[in-house]
Amino acid sequence: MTELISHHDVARQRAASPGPLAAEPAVAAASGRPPVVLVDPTAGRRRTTRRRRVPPEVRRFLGPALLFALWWALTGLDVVGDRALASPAAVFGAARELWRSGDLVDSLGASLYRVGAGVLFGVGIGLALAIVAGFFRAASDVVDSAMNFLRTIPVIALLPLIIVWIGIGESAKIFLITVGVAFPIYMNTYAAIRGVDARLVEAGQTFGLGRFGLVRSVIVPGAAPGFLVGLRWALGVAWLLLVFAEQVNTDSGLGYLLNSAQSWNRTDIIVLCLVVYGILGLVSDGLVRILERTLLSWRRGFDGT
Amino acid sequence: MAPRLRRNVSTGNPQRPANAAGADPAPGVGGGVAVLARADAEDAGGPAAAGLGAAVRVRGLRRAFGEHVVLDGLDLTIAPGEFVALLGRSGSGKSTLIRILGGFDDGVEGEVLAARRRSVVFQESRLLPWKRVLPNVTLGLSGRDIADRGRAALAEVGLAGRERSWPATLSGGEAQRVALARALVREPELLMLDEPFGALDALTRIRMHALLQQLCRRHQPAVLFVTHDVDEAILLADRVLVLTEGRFSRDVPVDVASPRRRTDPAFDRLRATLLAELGVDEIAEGTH
Ligand SMILES: Nc1ncnc2c1ncn2[C@@H]1O[C@H](COP(=O)(O)OP(=O)(O)OP(=O)(O)O)[C@@H](O)[C@H]1O
Ligand SMILES: [Mg+2]
Repeated sequence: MTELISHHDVARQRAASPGPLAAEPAVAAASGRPPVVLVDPTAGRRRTTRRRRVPPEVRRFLGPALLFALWWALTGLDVVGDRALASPAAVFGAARELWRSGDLVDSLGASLYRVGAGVLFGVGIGLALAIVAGFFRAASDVVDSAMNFLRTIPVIALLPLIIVWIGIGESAKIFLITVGVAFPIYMNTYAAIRGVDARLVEAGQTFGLGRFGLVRSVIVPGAAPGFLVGLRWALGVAWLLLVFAEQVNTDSGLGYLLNSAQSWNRTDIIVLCLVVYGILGLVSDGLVRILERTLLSWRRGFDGT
Repeated sequence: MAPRLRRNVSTGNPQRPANAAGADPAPGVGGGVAVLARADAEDAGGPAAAGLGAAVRVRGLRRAFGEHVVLDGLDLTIAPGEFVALLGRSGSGKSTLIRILGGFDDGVEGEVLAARRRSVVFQESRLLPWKRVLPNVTLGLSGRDIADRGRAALAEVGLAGRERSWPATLSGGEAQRVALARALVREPELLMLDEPFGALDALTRIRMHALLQQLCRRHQPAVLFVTHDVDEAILLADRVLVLTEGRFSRDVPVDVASPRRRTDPAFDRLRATLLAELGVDEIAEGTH
């Protein structure tokens, strides 16, 4: 008989002699087969009760915290000069200065307004197109091919045309972000609607769901994960486009502050802007996460988080 | 016990018609005559009910996918309360027939009438993963007491207390029982099952057979039961059909004394007949 060894024993024997464990050689010799190598398939994967698990919220902050420490160390030890990269203390000072003068709040407000409006319109348009194309076969041929063609044009390349159309004002910036957001939303939501399990739709029909009931009970929840992937992607695009939009003839916003800081030669303000961008990105990601938690609460039932 | 689910069936032992291929108005079944609706035109409103005394009436049904003719001039009548098992080789068109009767197929020719109240249990449970068990059972129903009816149906399949579970946390057998509850809570006049127990282990299957028999006795739906398992067909059905090349090559009543036992010589004879019809040599079958 090959004796199965509990994982504690395995661990102990491992410590004594590294390498996989072979069954009794005598057994192998008797049967004429090569020895069976036994390993513990759960090794290293067990949830030990002794080691307290770090809460995911804390782990999530660990990455940024590490980066911050690295930044502090680099500037504090004078590895990079003050000219190249401002120290955390200098950036904090700049933040206080700009906060007092109101510049930081104004810039933040202007940028948030542009991103917010652009995301709102972009999500609305992308969703509407995805729903039309996803539900009506005739519309899907037209809309989807058009969107796939337009998608290949880099959004930034539209900027000159947008300026000719609607000038350089606020609406041009919002328009650029709207366009950039609409595509990922459309692409992901359309694919998700089309990808909803036809067998579930059939089951819904069997049990008396009408068109509206099917949409509400089967298609919307089925397509929600895809939409959220699109939303996360779209928010990334929105922040990127914001930076571009605010480089062009602006007198407000984070991008304007960034540009000005460059001409004033103030690396502390430049780094401050970068930090603010980072925080905004984290916050918008967190918002999507909350949305995911509410819309996809049913998934928690089986992935155990 | 689930009194709400119980249909008003005259007590006693309703003798099921062994072969109701004709106009026999199904003696003993007190559930009333199923109103037939065109399977392809849900709630058409008009009096589509032509074949009184039947839960399914199909005449000259043809279904082709391009060149490939799957159902070729099929005739089928199922009486209310009758349990019909449908056998056939893989790809013979059994699921296609269920989909047509369910009303999911719009490429059919011929006359297709099926009871207006009908439910399907699929091979996979097809529960909506984003709804808990109870809303899955009561899906598409409306009214004040649907939650109670849903709970009663779950109790009937032995899943009382699991109302708030997520479908993904159920075992295969439990999920199929929820699917059965979801079908039964609608008090169907026609219950279609497409290999409902195909993915279950042998022990669970035996339990599910008993459960299905008990539920059918109580609710008296007409049943169309698709299976690959000849024994299962003989154990459960009043009548067994074999679908071969688009037509029913066999339509045999099951006259094996109940309780049906696999050791009964009549059982054995019928099994041999059906296996031969399905192209399985019994000797080859017996070797495993
Ligand atoms: N949508 C479709 N398009 C083309 N061919 C189809 C389609 N649906 C079914 N078929 C064909 O129809 C035939 C019958 O399919 P069906 O699913 O009804 O078989 P079945 O008897 O249920 O088989 P199984 O026992 O393996 O489930 C198969 O040859 C299949 O390829
Ligand atoms: Mg099938």
